[in-house]
Amino acid sequence: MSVCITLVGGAGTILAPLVFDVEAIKKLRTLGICGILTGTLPSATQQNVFLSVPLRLMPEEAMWLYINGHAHFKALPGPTATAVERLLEEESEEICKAAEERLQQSFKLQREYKLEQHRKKLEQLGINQPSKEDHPDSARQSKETKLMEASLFIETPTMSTILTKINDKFGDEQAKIDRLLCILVAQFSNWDNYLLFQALKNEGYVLSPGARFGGKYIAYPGDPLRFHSHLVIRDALHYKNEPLDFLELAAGARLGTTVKKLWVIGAPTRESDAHDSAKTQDNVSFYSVEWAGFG
Amino acid sequence: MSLPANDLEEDEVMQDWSSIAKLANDSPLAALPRRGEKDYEPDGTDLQELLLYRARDAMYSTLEQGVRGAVVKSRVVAYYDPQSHSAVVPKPRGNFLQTMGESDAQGALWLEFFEFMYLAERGTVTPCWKRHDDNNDGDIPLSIEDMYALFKDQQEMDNFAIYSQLKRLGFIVQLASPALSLYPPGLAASSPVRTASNALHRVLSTVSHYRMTLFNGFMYNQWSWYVRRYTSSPQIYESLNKLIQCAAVPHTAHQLYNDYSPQDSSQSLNITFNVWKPNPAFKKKLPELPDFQVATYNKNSTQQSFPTYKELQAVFRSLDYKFSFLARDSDTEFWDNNTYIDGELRSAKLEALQSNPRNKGKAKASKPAPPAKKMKGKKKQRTVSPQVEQMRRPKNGYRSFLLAVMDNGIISFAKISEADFGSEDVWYKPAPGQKNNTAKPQRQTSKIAA
Amino acid sequence: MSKRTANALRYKYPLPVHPLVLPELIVHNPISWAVWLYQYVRQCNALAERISVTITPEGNAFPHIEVRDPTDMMYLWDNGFFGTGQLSRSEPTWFERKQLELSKDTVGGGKQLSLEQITRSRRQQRQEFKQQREKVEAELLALRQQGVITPEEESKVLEREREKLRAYRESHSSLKELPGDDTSLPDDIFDDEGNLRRLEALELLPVEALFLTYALPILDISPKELIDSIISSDDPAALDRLLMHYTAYHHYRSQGWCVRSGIKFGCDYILYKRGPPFQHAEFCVQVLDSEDSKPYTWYASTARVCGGASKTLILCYVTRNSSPEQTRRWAADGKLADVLSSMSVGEVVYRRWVPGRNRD
Repeated sequence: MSVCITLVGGAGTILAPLVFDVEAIKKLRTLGICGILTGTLPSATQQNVFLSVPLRLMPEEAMWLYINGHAHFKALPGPTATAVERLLEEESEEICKAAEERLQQSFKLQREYKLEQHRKKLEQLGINQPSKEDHPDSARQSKETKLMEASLFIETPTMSTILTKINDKFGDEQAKIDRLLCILVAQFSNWDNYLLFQALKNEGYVLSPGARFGGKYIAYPGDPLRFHSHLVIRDALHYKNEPLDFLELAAGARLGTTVKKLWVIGAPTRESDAHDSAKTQDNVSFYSVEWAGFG
Repeated sequence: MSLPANDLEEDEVMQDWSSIAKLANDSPLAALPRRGEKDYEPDGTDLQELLLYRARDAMYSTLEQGVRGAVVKSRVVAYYDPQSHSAVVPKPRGNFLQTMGESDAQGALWLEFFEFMYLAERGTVTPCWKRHDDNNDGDIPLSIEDMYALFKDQQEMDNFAIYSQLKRLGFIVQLASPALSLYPPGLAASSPVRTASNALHRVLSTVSHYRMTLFNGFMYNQWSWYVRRYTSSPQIYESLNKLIQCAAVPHTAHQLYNDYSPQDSSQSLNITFNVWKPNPAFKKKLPELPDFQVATYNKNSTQQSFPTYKELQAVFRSLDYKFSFLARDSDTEFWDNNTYIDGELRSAKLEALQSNPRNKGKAKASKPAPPAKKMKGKKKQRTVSPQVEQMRRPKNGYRSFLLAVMDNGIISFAKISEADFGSEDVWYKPAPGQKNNTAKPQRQTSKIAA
Repeated sequence: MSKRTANALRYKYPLPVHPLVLPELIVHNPISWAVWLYQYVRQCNALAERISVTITPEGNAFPHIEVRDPTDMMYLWDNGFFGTGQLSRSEPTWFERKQLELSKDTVGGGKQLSLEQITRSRRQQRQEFKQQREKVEAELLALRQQGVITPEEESKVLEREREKLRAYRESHSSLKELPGDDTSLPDDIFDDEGNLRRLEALELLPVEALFLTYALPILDISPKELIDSIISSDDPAALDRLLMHYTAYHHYRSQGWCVRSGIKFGCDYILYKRGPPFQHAEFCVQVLDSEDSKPYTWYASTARVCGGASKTLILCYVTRNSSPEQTRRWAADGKLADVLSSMSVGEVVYRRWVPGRNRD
């Protein structure tokens, strides 16, 4: 069962892949793809430590899921607003009706639930439920009904119904998806970094963006909810062609001590084009540098 | 080496979802005791599995129960208008009106796209699509996923994330706009004149550069030490520091005026947001100058690179906020006389507001807020020694802005300020009593000319 | 005399060039005038004899600039904290420390430990503490594997063990002298007469050496000679880099800062207000060309390291107002004044900003 992710096109870019479905998020987490939650959490709106859906994925994470068949993608060409306008021209009535139906259904369930709760509470207090035919209380009843109606909850749904219609119209040709993912990696990362990601992922690490710790990724030996991250990994350095500045080496080792992680250099030893290497899982060599004698 | 506790990144402080889960209703996890620390590595034990399971469960149930929306009686609908990429709220009500959006002539409130998204995510407004046909059979409600698909480009999505981050902490955030400025309205217009005078300045400075080269050539050679005499260490320093020019950093309002150059969109880095510290007395129509200005930067984008010095200078020149080195935050008189809103002085506008008989009652009601602020100002007025001041100045810098850096969903901020070491002389000045101490140090060598 | 006054006296002069000490001038007394004028003319700020410097190995890509004479070494250290002892932490004290160790006529107690000894002692302590901690962790893991403990019980055990570790750390916090030296030396540290050789030299950074010959008349080598011996002629980029760094070094030195190498913090230089013995350095400086743009990670990691050491990161941008070719030509002709007059310096402070702590 693979996860469905929509790729949205922007002006000359692909927007970062987002996951809105909590079930999909659970599935991804078991695969070791944790992403970053970026939406406001309704139950605690004034803090930034705990956030809610959508889950934002790194380009490397999306590419890895695609290559390993854990996710299938749909493309939504930009600008989305135009596509929605067009859709609405044709199907606004249907959409409205469907939305209204869903709302009424939700209201119905809520009403039933609230009445049930009310009844249970009265039972607990030992008061008898007045029968419906009691006229003197009808004024009070209608007031109670009004209160209840006013307190019914209207949800802003997380998942879309409109976009799926647009998706269905434009389809999900594989070649297009392939190209879009390549553009995503090229615009917001590079293939060498992807090779690093892949190699570490295959070793069982969970990777997270690492810029706040002075690196490209940080790596956890398992789920970040349970483990500390051990490694801070630098941007990929080509094994043969790119030199490493000594000052940077010293700085990296010192950084490792400061953030209490091991500073790691990943060097793809690819001979061929990195893009092809990604599919054939070429070798990456890893090195770590530590400040000696710090104890 | 241990960092002070509140410097730790969120990663280093364990995310304990069970505490947040308790806030949600019907949580079966409310009774969970606090767990211990994180582990260092997988150890294959059942206990570890259990702890992980509980942690995940707390997180998943919080996410599942985190439903966004509003109850019928407090429902406020906002309609997204694709043509202007903004949203309109025909019947606005709620606290957010104090700091967000702009009212139009019909009393409807217009929200920027990111304001619309933020309020919808929070549940304060119900998002719908604005229909152009007058077909009123119903609203077309939007989902969160729909809204996220409406971003025009990645920068807009990143800007929104940064906006939300600051809003959630209570800051007031708006788009930077030339309508609110420290600088008098004619200044930007006179920029060609100032550019010409700056160019002239540069020519003159080239001339003085040549003069300086001659001077330096004369002063800095082998023989000068035999010709000149220095009777104090500061003198030696002073002749040394004339050699290299330093960038001119504005310290005063006048210098700021001369250096101001509004930003243009061709710059690689631009100020996006004006930010104010949380303030219950914020007046949307008559704001004070912002406390901070924020520029956003996506570190992973191959299209953007970290600004060079020249690019940073362009940003510094365009800054337009409550410069902390000009006057204290609590010096309302100074700031009101130096803030221009749509070309008019804030002090003038405030007076007009107060003299309006309708507003007399309102003005009185809003007075209690300032004294609280003044108290805080007083606390900070502890005098510090000149030595400490001197250390603080280069550390705090002069013109500064915040760089919000986006890294695949994680936001970090850096404060980038202009420093002026060239104007601080730090050589050791002995205390007055020791001035006449001519005792030679013990390790005197024969090197010193007798 | 207290350590403070001892330091104040020893490190009295911030530069190796001392101001003249002129007699008091009594205005109405002509003899006083005569005496004063005589002293004025006779004295000279420059050193009577310049300090000799050795550059080894000759013609190598990475030569060492050394000052070998012991008196000179101490003079340069005491008057501005120039250079680093090759076998010491900073101040060249290897000879004294080795002698002390070899003579063994004083036992640790009572005598002040040298910086190097303190470092060794601290490392030893950390090792011991880590061993204790590992033991505790192994015990906890065993408990888990046996399946006898619940999460709640584990937290309690963890808290107890933490307390014990804290107590252990406190009881073992005194520094003590450790036997032996950390560097193993060859037998030929003694010369033919059985005296300890002076193996340590004071090594200067290229920018320090350039400052001590160009800006101040201290070393016995001309600026041009110095540059030629440390930069090979087929590496113009190295020359550009040296000149850029020298500009920054000169700028901070001439404002009164004591500027030393920042390699310990992964940056170019660190600034002390007066010197290492007085206070910790306040600033870390990274020197950049004004057209330079590094990847964001570079700025973030430097800021993180500096922040962790409670220092403020300064990005020092050097702007060249003349073309690189022109600059190199001037340097080749020894016209350093022209080179430096064509550079200008601008600084930017880069600090991490935490929104939660800036709300009021």
